[in-house]
Amino acid sequence: MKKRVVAALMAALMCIGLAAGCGNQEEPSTGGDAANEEEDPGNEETPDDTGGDTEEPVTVRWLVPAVVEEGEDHDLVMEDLNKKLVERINVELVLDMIPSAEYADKVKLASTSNEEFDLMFTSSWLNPFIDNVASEALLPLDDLVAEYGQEMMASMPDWLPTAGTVDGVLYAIPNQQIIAEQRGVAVQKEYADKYGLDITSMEDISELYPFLDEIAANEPTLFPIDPRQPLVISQNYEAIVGNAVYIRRGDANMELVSYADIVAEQDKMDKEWYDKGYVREDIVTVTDNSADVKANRYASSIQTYKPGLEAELTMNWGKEYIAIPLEGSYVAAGGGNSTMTAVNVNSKNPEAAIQLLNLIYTDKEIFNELLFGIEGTHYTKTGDNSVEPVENSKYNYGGAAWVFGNQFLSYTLPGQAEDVWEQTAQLNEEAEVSPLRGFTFDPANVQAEIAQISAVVAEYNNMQYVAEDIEAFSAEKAERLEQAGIDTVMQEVQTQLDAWKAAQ
Amino acid sequence: MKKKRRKGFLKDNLQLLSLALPVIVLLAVFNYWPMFGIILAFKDYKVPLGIFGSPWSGLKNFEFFLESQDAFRVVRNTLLLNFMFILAGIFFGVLFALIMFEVKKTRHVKIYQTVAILPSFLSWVAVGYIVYAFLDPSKGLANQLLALFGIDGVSWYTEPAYWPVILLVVKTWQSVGLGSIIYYAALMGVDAELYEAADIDGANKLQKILRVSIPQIVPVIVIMGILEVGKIFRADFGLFYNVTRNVGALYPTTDVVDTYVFRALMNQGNIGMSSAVSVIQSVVCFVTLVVTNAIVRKLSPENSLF
Amino acid sequence: MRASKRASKSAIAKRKERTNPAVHIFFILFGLACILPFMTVISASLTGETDLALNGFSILPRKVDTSAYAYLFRNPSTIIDAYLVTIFITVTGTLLGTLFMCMAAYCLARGNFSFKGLLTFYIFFPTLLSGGMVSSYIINTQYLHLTDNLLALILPSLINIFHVIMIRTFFAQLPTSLFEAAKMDGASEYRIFFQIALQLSKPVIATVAFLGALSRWNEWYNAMLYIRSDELVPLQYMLQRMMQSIQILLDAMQHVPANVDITDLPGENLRMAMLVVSIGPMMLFFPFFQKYFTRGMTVGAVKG
Repeated sequence: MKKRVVAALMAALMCIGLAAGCGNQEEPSTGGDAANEEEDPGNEETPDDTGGDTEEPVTVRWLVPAVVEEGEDHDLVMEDLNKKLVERINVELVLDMIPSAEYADKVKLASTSNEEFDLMFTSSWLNPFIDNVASEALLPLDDLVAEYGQEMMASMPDWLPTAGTVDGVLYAIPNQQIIAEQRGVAVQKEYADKYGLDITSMEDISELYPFLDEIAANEPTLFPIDPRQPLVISQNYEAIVGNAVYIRRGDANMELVSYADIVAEQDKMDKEWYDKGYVREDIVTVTDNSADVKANRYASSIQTYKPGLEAELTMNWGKEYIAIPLEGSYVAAGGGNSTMTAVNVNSKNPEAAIQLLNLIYTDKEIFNELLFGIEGTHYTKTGDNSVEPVENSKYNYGGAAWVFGNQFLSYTLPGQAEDVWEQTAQLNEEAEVSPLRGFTFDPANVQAEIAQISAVVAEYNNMQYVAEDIEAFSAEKAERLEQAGIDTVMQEVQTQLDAWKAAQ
Repeated sequence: MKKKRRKGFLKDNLQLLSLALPVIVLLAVFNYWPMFGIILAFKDYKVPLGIFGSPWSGLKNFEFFLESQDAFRVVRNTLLLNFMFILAGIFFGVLFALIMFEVKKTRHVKIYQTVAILPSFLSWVAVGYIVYAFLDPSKGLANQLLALFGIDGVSWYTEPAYWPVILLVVKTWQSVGLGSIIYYAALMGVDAELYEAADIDGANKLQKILRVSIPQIVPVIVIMGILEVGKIFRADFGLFYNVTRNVGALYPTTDVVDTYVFRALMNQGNIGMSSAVSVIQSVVCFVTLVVTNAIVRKLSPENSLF
Repeated sequence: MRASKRASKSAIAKRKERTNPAVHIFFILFGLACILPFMTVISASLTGETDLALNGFSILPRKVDTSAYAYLFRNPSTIIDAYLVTIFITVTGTLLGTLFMCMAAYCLARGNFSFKGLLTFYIFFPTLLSGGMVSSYIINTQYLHLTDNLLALILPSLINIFHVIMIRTFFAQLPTSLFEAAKMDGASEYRIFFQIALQLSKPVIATVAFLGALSRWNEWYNAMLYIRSDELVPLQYMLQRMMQSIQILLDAMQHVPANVDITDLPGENLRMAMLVVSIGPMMLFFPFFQKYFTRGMTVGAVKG
């Protein structure tokens, strides 16, 4: 009996001890926030000398979403890579692969709780760039790249850095990859052949309709098309605020268009597709169609077109695909903001971080080791610029190249054309560039409206397919959007846009 | 004598306080200390300035929710559905426990209980799949059954009117096995002599249930009710999101605070706005709880929470 | 009188042995409603991914395919480690937590405790107001240094306030005369708590312990926030990590024009297999708690 009581009391004491322990440490961190900020200017000299034999290497911690699984040999490769990095710039990289679903929350918690990290992946869709700028979580980079990132900046087209720029200040470095947007349709070759589909490019999606009709009529086990992207909108308009404010592609007058108006057009087409049987009947209740995609149940799907798409799809989905581009490639104002790297405002080593990023962005050897690991162990070379990962490689981040920097430096994989990156770069260069390039909308004043609009849009998501009266449906949606404050957002955009134009 | 009593009184209190100490300390550290986070709801959060240093933003973070055209619908659904779940949870939980109490062989009780808690082990995602297998408009079991009786199939996922009932059935099916255990435990604590006395009075089964079992477990029922009411404005996100497959057409009857906030804020990482909703939920729960507790105290003081 | 009572008692006892057939029928029907969906899940876990996409769920697998399990157990040692971590957290947390909660509940139930009202309010208040994830994270990582420490999975969730109140309600129903009598015999509060209150409340304690064990077994959120090393990852979080990536990759496909590889995404069969793997052992635990759901532990027994 006594023993039990003693045990209970011990446990209680443990807790008290613990609580007391925590109380003591309260002091140092509270003052920390302000101090960090001041440090930057003074620090600039230190990592400058790249010989660095005498100095301890600087550690740079880089947070990225693990869009591929972390390799078993992660530590091994890092060790090897770090030898080279220390030699070159006296920096050691700690690459933190965070499960992608947790990524946004964890970065937020890390920065709120003042954890030490230096680089992070930020984008329009994951760990949102604009919100990070609004909460001042990102370090302004202009001076740093001028000193440590010149090669990196020189390697990209002039218009690219504007994706990471807000009010003329550079906050994030866009990664280089396919940026020009061009829609296309991927079609299973088997069925294209069977139904005599032989077009190499389309002006309008309606050119595909005869094929879709055939599939709908003759292939009961297949769904004719996977309408992954709203084609009418993405072909003709460019978003300033997604689901709210748009301009017509390339409209030099930059006349604003409300989402409520253009979505009606989209809904009408969707409904037509549904009625014709192009779209799967149960689309309203499908939350995740990846199993059907993997099982090749879609005869065709709408895709973002790019060089090498056919090979990629064929490799990933295990069946032969052909890709038919829809005409007109375009670089939107935000083009490039879907994959960027930024520096934490509380970083202790921003210079080293930019030096590291610069190296990864411009050095083929380093970048490819980061992607594919060690030659012989994790991959074999099949040409000057092409590799094949060994079977069951314990390190292969090739699928995550777009997270890390300059994809154009990447070795090509089996199935990819030797010149895939040249083609891609060319597509980027030749695309029409948005007149809005350089303008970034600051949503601070209309956060509430944007949240409400998001809610309305999500509510009507996919309901257009089953709407009985599509006109009435669109009218109702437009009215709900209006109530959510879409006009207020339009006005705010107009105000900011006018100010931007005046400043040009 | 009096002195001795006071000394005993002091000793008792110290002993009791020492028993409560671990809980007091743990709550202080893990529940009370983090409460400063509430101020985030009233701040325009800036990373370099920290939580305390960021500028105050008044009620700006609350606007998106309070001024929303959907606020009324969402609040109504959350309160009504949860209220329905609370009543059903108690009613079926008690009923289930009473029936279980009628099973006399321990071996049978064990088997039945184990089987009945099976659904509680399923995640809402899995439950969502199962419900879909049942209600799928083309291949689903429900419409096939209806067809047997010559009734036209229902397009379940576009008819909001059915969903309060569907959710109620699913929720009850999923939780009644586990939820009834506490009432079963209470029934086991009922003094066997009370049943014997009732037998001697010639009471039948129903009378025994109404006059002995239920009155004896009323304190547990009441306290469970109060505890549940304290959560009435927080919805079970997994249930509402997965089981409805998040179909917009069903929102008129299934959209609740937690799903609305998820939808509205999923594209923005705004700490202040999500904190604001949490504060609103706390306030509503606090008020309903205090009111409920006050009513209970009026009716039967010994059963109230405080 | 006494004799007649005893006689009636044995008559009751005899009658009691038979359960009404309607009751059996009820439980068999309800049991089917519970077992069939469960079998559907198991069957889905044993079906090939493509098969599942084409033909949907069924109660028995059309063709048995164990690839999902093969995938889960491709590294048996990691999954065993994860099981061990989960078992450790569940056992430690449940034992300590239940003890602490009972201790506090006992104070709340004792009429002679002067701070009863105050303490009840203190204990209950946090259910109404929570500081949110951000501030907890800051405290646990910056001040308590619980990062990558199993204590982060045990301590914050040690106390379930609702359970404290539930136990309190049961304690409060014990007849005060028992406590008075013990006091007269000079028993301390500790002694009364351990020897009377706890002994007489086994069913509720077993209930609370089971509910607590269940939620600890299923816990993954704190692991996500605080655990960094692979060897400290509990089972549920390990499974959660595999499952979660789906949504983000689907998002990525929408936004990133680059190659987003979905071939490694877990299919529905794998998700169901994870469910089976994670709940199997917990099912085996349940009878252990059920042992305490026995009649005769009740007040009457002590009085008599």
